[in-house]
Amino acid sequence: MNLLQIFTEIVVPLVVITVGGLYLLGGPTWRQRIRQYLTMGYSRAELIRMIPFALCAVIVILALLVVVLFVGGNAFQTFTRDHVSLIAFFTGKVWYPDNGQVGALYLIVGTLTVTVLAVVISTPISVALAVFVTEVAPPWARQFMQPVLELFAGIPSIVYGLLGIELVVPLVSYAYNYLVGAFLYAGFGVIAAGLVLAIMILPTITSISIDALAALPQGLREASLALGATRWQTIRRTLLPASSSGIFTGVILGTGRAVGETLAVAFLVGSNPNNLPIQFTNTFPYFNLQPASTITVQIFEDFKEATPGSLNFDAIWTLSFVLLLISFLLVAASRYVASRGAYKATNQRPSGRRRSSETGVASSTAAAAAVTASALPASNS
Amino acid sequence: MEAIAKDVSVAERRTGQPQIDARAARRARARLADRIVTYTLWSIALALTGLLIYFIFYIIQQGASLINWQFVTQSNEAGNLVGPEVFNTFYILILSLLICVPLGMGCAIYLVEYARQGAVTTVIRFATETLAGVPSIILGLFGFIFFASSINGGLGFGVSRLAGALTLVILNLPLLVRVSEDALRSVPDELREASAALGANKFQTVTRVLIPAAIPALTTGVILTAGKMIGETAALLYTTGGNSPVTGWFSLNPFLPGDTLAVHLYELRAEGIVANAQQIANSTATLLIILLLVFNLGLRYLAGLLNRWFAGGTSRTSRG
Amino acid sequence: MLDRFNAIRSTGAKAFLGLVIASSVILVAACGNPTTGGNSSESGASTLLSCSVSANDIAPTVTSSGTATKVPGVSGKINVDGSSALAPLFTKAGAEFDAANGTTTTVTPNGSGTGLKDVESGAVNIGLSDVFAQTKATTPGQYKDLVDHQVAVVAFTLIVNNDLKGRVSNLTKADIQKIYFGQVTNWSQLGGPNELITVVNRPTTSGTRATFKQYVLDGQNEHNSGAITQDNTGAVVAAVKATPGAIGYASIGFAAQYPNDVTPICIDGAKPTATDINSGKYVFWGIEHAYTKGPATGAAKALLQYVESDQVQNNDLLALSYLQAKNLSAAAISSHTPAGAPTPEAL
Repeated sequence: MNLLQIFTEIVVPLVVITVGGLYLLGGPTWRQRIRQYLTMGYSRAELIRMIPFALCAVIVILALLVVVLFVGGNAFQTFTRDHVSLIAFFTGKVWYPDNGQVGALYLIVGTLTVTVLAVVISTPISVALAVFVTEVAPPWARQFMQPVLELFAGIPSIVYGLLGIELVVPLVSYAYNYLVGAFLYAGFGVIAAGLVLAIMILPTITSISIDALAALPQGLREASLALGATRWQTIRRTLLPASSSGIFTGVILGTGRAVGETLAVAFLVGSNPNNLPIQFTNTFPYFNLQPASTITVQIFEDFKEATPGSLNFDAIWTLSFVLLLISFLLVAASRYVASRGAYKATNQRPSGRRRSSETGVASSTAAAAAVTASALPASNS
Repeated sequence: MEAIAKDVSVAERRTGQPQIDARAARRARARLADRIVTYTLWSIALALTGLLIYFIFYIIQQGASLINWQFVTQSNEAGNLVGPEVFNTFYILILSLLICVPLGMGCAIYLVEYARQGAVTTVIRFATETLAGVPSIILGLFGFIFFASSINGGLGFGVSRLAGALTLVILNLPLLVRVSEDALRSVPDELREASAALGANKFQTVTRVLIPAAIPALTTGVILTAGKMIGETAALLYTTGGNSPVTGWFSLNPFLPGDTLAVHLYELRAEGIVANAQQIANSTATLLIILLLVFNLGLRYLAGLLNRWFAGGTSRTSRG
Repeated sequence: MLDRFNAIRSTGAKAFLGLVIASSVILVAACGNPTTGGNSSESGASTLLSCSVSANDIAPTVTSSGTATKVPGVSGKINVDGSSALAPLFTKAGAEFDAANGTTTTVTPNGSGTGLKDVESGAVNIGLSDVFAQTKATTPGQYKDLVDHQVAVVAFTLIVNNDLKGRVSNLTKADIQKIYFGQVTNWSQLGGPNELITVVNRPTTSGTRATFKQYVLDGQNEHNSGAITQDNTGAVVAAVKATPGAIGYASIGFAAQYPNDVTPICIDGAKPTATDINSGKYVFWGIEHAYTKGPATGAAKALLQYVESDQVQNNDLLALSYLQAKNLSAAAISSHTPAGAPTPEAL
């Protein structure tokens, strides 16, 4: 029994039976309620003409469902067919599927480390850039920065990976070996991967932060400046706190991108699945940086050669499902944070549409922001 | 000095004590901090722009040597021309956009024009956002097992252009829903009201007024999305195959396997043993960056020009 | 060592300064390759220099292509997938075959596991594999219907960073095992320069790594926490190229692409050449297989016949730096054939 079967054989019939039963047996109140809900008050003719659009919406939902069900449907065979215990999978430290060992602990640690590094490096720069674009830059610079961000977002991740090998890995190696005073480290590891990821998620965090800052009412700035605050004081004490939920949303979505990035990380992280990213020692410099691995990298590297039906193949799907769950959690978190913001980006207002007086440059930037960011939480209502 | 004196005069009069030094110093510090931050922000923006320009030049100067018309349009047995890859890149891009744009637009129309805010819109929004959050490597695996292979109930299209295009559809659908929503929302309500006042029903308003009016904003979004799709690798590695047939690639058969430029770049760097593989890989990377520039700067500029040309004199004059 | 370290240190200083002032990446390019520090203090190593691989040993001997002739009654599509190591040969030979016969051959390099699985399920006509099918079987009896065609031999070579050029050019199998098991972490422990050894490996699922493990590490599992694992041959070469004191392995076809970037070395005094493989002295090589489900038929058979013909074997195959399987001695072939492997089909 996998997720797919559970869904098609239990969930769908259950929903159909419940709704149908209520409609047939629930009396006029329920009938009215269900009809009202389904028709949304449109006339029959209007409803029929609406079908193509509603169908598109259904397809979008179906797409997500199919992805979740197919990944989920293959995810549990590690436990059911290969009899790996849940605890052994999540706490095991050795990933050597050919020997029957599929411990994902170090992979999860690797993913966390790389992600945290990338976000910690990227966030201050991104927010600074967003502040620059919205508060400091003259119009020409503002218009110049938008394609810059889009190009950063558009460089293929494989190209980032190759750039990383040629430019960032040597840099990390030199810096580390210089600091410890001996040649100890080749540069492949979480730091190189984190640095490159920081550049890759920068457009996401920046563009969402720009939206958040741009959504603040002009009155906030004017009030602060009228009190005699300098621009920096206005930014620090008024604008950043007021847009914090939007910025935080951007950080979470950037985190999502960092967690899911594969190729660039695969080139840089050293992908040794049986290592922690850092190992503490008793001798100077008291720690060793080591090549480590992440969930995505291991999926990517093992999938090519794994034979369907083998433990390795099953374990890859389990890893994928774990990754899927992490990305769901991040999306949910971003929605929650976005819903708590006092000032929402203009296109997130419940009423949705703009009057013509408000349309302008914003519409094209909003579309651009949607491209640089992988997704924005929209209306929370 | 006069300004500072004026600033402190109120406080001085109230307390009766000279506060000029402390306040002036504080204000001077604030101004200094303001100036430092301004310079810092400028230098961050400049540094990042410099970094981008350096990246682009680094890639282009490494691979510019091989690029010529023959390189991008033809193929040969020695494997040192990328005609099939260029063709596949656009083929897969257009195929997936053909599916993706109508779907995304339809979904957006439902969301923006029809649906009442409530459980249904929340579900759709949650679906698009969640789908947008799914890592592309997972969509690659999914595309392989659902579109390409026939095990476990997959559709069995084989490792092919079609499987790759459909995987890209799933990957970019949320983005296009989002872009279409923005485009629709940028259409002023007056148009809707005017259309309704003329007696058009909702469907007529949508198809004859809103969609045409939204196209300018949509074009920009689609072009940017396309620029991103060109570079996608992880989702295509397992779905389109890492190779193209040397002959017969110039066909519209969606069931042929066909690697895109990005996948080709990966395969060359990974296992390429054809003569000169490294140089071909560099040139492929250069080509990718050139395409990115063409899409993000060239085509968008062109779309902007066209929009202005078409939209000249309509109600969308508040721009600028 | 000091010189070397100072070289790194001074470049490192520059690079680190660059890091601090944020636009650092630009600086590194200016730094260039810093790994050329001089060194003279090592004792004359025992076996480290007793053999060396020259660029000519691994460079392809021919650059010519084969020409296919039309086989009567052959048409349609031929689908091939599997080993990324063997795919280039089939891509090239397939194109020549298509040109003569009007067929459409598609070759998808997606890994030996997939190739075997796909040919077993009938999804493709030919499945390419780096390893014998039965070694990949997860259940007994799986792949028993597959028929083997040993179309090529691929030789692998150990490669080291260029700063070891002229200082380490030969390793014994025992040395290699010590390195890959992490028992030796500095080249000086083997009589080489005082320099950290950075081990670059392939993923456990890789066919190349399986070959390496079986014939060089004598089947033992290595657990080396310092080892970098790189997804593919290209990334291995890039890592070895970028890291002083690094060692890794690649097929000779790939190593030949980077003659100035990495240095191939001997194993046990033998070179990765047909001569040393034939005499049994060189062990790091593998047989490349093209599997069909049941005996080959139709267009797939014609294609395999073409690949095994002199046209391909004497031209394309050598140009892509494979070795001819048919010229290997029976002793050599059997040394790399697991017990119980079915005999390959003669076409």
